[in-house]
Amino acid sequence: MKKVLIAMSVASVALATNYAVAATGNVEFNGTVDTTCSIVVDQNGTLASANGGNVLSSKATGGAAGAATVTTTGYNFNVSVASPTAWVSGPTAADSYVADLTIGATTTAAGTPVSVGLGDTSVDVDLVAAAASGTSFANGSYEAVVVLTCE
Amino acid sequence: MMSTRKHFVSAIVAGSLAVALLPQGAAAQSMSPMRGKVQSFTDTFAVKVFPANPYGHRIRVEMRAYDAEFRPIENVKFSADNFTLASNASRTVTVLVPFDGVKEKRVRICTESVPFPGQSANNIKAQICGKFIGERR
Repeated sequence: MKKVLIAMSVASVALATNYAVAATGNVEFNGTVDTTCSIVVDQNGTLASANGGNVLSSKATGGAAGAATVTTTGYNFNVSVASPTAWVSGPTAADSYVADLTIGATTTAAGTPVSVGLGDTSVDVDLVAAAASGTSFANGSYEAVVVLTCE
Repeated sequence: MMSTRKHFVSAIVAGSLAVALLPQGAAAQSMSPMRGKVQSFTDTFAVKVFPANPYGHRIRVEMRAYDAEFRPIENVKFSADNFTLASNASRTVTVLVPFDGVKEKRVRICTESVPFPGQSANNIKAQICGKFIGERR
């Protein structure tokens, strides 16, 4: 009888130990990512003279497109550029200012929204300014601002 | 000046219900939220946005409001419309938009970065615009 009691005690202790080892708990994690759009201008554009001084263009030899990175955390976002209407500073007013944006191999005119996907999108921005027909831009520094919009 | 401030404070109180309906959170880059629908029982609806500075340096930020056709809306009130943000910082801006007699108003609230005076300007200006709809009840 004594041996049976000892055996039962050992068994109950063993069961209790097993129960403690099998205990589990779930630790939950929650987080929210806000829907945002971010633009970082990586590089300003450079205008170069072309067509005998009639055109200042970032696409001309010596010119360079501006570059920006658009980052979104959601879908249904568009980017677009708006052409300037005047120089910020410059000795000769232009007859026309035409901006466009390029994503990958696709170039889109100013005012036309382009859909961007989730994450980073590299956007190149170009500007072509033309003086009145038969005239040239006078020497000096020219500066224009192209607005890049994410919405 | 005082009456303008009083009007602004009362408008904030009136629009507090609408603000409470918007998603909260300040851990955003550039601006969040970017979409929203607000219901208001007053002549004004309020939107709370969080412009942020993703750059590694301080920037100056201007807030602007435009209508659905991107025309500026002049009589919008901002709790702050021209301020500086440190690198990776953000702040809350409350925007009060009058209905101007219509039952539904669609607005763009935009964060625009501007260069500091004397610094070489970026010739690409970043503009982040959230689209919001106000419904008058």
